[in-house]
Amino acid sequence: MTTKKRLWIGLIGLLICILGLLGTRNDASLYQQPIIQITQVKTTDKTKSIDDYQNQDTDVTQQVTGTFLNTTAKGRSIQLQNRYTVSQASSFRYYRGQQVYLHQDTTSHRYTLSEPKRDTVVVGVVLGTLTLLLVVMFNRGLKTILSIGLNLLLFIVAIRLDVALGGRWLLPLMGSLAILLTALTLVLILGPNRQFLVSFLATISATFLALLISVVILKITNDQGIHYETMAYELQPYKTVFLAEVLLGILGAVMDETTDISSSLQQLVLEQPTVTPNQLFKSGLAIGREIIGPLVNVLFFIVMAEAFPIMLLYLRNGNTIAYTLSRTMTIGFTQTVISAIGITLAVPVTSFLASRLVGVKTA
Amino acid sequence: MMVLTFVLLGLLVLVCGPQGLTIFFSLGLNFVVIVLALVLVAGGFNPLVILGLLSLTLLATSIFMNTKQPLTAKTAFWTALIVVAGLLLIIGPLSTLAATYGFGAEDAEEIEGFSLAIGLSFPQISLLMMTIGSLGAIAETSIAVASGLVEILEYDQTIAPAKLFHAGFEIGEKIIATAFNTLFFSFFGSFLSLTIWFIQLGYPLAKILNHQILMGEVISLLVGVIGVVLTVPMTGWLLNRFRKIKSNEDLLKKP
Repeated sequence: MTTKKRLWIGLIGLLICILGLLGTRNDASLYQQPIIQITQVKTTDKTKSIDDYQNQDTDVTQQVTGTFLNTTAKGRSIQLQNRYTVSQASSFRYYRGQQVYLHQDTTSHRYTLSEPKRDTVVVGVVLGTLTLLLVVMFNRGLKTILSIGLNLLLFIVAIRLDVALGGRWLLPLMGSLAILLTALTLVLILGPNRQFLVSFLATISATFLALLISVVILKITNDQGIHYETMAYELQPYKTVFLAEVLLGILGAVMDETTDISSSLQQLVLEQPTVTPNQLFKSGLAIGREIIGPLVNVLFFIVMAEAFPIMLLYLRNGNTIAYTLSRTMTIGFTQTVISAIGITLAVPVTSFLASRLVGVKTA
Repeated sequence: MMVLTFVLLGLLVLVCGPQGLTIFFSLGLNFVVIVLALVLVAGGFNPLVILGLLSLTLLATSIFMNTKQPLTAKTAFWTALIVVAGLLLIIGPLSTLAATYGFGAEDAEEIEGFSLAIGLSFPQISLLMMTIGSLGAIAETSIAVASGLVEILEYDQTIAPAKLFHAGFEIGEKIIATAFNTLFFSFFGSFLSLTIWFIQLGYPLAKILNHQILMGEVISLLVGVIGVVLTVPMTGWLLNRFRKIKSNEDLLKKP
């Protein structure tokens, strides 16, 4: 791709970005909930607080003045009070220029501040990221965006189906979804060829094998040490939801790995047509060894990061480290271990399949 | 849980030989380091200082323990470090503007009975979360691009810097696409239950687009993607610099 073309894509992307920002900044009339834009903020009171665990914080009261952007009150000015703690664990500090949702009490008709409007920032980040992606790689970027859009659509359809069926078929549904999404994503990355077949079969078999092994072991050990009830959002039945989450969560990483190994092996066959299936299998293992660690880390860091706020809350509320970990980390830890098993299994599975299937082609 | 962990260890050794042990222990080490960092934050250390130290440690363990080639490891480490530092400049304002820090309405049950005025800055903790969450993907990408480029360099030591930089893009394209998928599917996994919740309770689209927890997660995901995309040119550029320094030294040594 020429620099000139990149520049044009960047400019057009930037323009769309700005349009998106302006559009969402002025879309209040599309919302039914009342929205104001803050014109003035004044801190009226500050009180130091100490809780039962000797944590010091400050309660701040802000006087917020704003103008209505929608509903029949549009254009009218309003003064409201906001109270927040400096730590902002579940309250917000408001700034001038921010757009904020209001809540109107149904009986007294009085307004209170609800929460900040977020669509402008999110639309900006989404459009900005897509532009960056397309500037770096236009054709493959388009394909990636297409695959992610389709995946998202299918994901939502599957969950709608699950809710319509009363949630009893979650695991079979997510299993089928996983197979469908894998096929779709890999076809868009690799095209419908032999390498696609290798990666697809390897991804599906390694993922399901890892889940099967884990389910059997968890059953034998009676889920020793795992507190399913600590899962976020407490959706029943815990175990099924957990397995479905793990299944979808590792697909991307396993696909990453299987495409990596299979394309390297295909390259090897092209360079050395005389290579035997056994040699191919061994090279596959050697390539795989290098990528297991970094890939497991990707998922592991994400899972750990998600638990930060709740872990800190436990620690600061006078709990021991051991208790905190048992209440906040067992689910994430188990999820990482199952993912790591899948990622590890994918190496021999891909190497084996590639050594047989890629070899056949040259024979 | 313990049995499952031992099965993982067994499998790693079976597939990777002695290197499996290294992978396993580097994972364990990362776990200990992260928990230790959180204990320090809870103990009153500044989250941003811990963020710097933690990123440094995690990048060092996950890059140097997984890569044997010294030039690859060095390039990958510095690339990841610079990209993470650059990302902080984006994440900081974003997290404040989007106000996705702290606990959302759906967390209410989980945090019931806790004292919330704990004197820790949740905007800063959110910064810590987003950075650590994208660290793994950035490290993985930088290792992959650097090892591909070092391989080219070994094959042809005199390759022009511009050509090497360009080759980085070619290698990087596929890596960006798959890394995007890795992040995206992990996002699907962690948001399965929240999405079921949304659909069960019939949340309107307007509410979903402004949802504190979901949008926080979308921003984290995209920050990871931005990090991955930026890693690709950065790796090529840094490798060119490192190799120049190397060849200059060689020139000095030779006569």
